[in-house]
Amino acid sequence: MIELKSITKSYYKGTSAQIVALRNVSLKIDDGEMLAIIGTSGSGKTTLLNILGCLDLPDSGEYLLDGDLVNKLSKNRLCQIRNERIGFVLQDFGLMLDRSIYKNLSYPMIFNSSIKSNEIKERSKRALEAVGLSSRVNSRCVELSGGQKQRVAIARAIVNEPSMILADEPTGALDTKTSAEIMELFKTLNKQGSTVIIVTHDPKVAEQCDRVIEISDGEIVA
Amino acid sequence: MYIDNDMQNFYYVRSENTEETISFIENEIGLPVMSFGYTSGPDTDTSIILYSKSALENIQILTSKGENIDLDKDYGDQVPCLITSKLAKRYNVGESQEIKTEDGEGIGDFYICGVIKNDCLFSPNYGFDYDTDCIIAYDPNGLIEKNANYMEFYAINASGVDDFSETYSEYISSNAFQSFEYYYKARNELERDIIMPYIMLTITFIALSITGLISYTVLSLESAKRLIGIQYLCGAKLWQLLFVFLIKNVVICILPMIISVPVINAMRGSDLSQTTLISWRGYLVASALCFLGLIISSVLHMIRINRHRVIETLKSL
Repeated sequence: MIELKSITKSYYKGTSAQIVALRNVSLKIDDGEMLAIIGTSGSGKTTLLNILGCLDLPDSGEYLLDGDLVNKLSKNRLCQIRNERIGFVLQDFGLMLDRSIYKNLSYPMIFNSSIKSNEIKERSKRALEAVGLSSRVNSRCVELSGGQKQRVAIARAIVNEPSMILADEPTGALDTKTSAEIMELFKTLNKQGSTVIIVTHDPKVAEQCDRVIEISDGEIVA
Repeated sequence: MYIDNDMQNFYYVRSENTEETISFIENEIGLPVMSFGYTSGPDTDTSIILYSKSALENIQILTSKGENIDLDKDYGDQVPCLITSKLAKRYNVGESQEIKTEDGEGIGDFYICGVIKNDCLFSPNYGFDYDTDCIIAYDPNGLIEKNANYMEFYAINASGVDDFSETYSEYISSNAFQSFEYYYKARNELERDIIMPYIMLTITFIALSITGLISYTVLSLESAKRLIGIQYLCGAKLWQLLFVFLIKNVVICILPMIISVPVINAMRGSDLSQTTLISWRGYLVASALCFLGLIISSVLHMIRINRHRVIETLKSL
């Protein structure tokens, strides 16, 4: 389970440009839930995602991830959690386009000490099968369409079999048809047991999730 | 480089009446007289300098191979000697060798004790000098044929006599005793003029290499920002990313190092190596400085990237 208790986060603290990105945010997310976080640009949704993904630490409040108090963990431990328990999907795919699909999928695995080098290929194949791209393992990412690139990004996010998938505007750069295909993929992964949290400004994407929370000016309003 | 054997206390003995002067030095002043005999060697370039016992006792000769002449050892019918680098290619250390002149005349049977370090030896004409074609021999039994070219020179080490230059100033001013200090200084200045350009060249090359390495490191880290961001997102620790980056760049730097080893080895046999700048120690120091520059610039730039929030670099690229 994921729990946020009175999380506050500011940037440029102590300066005239200080921005309060999150104010007293409290949230509980059950295992296996598919949650949408909706809000306008600058509302704090990406900051919330960064904190959920252990990329950033809150200034105050508590973040509990499966019982671990994330605030108190070391940077190395946070990296390990991000590697083993969280998968990220970004709007611009977050891929090395000049490298092969196989190379991109290997990144989470080479930094996972529990995965042996001879397992990497097998896991990559399984992840690509899950996203429907098993025939393209040796292709370079630059040769793929937008939808295919996002599938590769999702495959990379699930290759370590994480319990949580965080997606930041995953359909932002895709057309309607491709967006629908990607959302179907997320729903499939969610049905298989992963907690899926999607940050979006698109209400059509949000309504496909189990729950929608709206964030505005750093606070949860709905 | 020169060995500092207290050159300011060495005097060349120049006198028309050598025997009388030597007697005066040994009996009145109480100093042993170092005698040096010059004779031709196995070819026109090579000379043999016969050092007396007092010469070998007063002058420190360093060897790069083998051992020094042992004054207490009985070498039998052989003349113990030290040879310079060029001759070391012809004669082997630890072996006996009959050395003949170019005309085939036998000079004597020599026992090669060792090789003179950096070919630096004492010549009574001008103090310490470099000579690649020389044999220093110790012949107390007079076994070596002294041909028509044989000449003798004498020097003294006055370090045991207090105020020597004041007490015997008249002999110094009359040039009976000539200080080596002048020759020593002149030689040092000449050597400095010869060596200094090489030193400046070496420093320039090292500085250029380090600057080039640092620039390459910073540019290569900048261009790898996206990859660093992606790998960080996938759970890599920053020290792991730095380690992978360093290993890749160290391999790139080691390649030219490996290629340069046979080049330097070939240069070591040349006259350029006489400056002693082309040495393994210098090479290792230069390499260590370059690697230090590489590592420090990598660590500092990685810290800078980290400070700007790695994940933001991914979104901005």
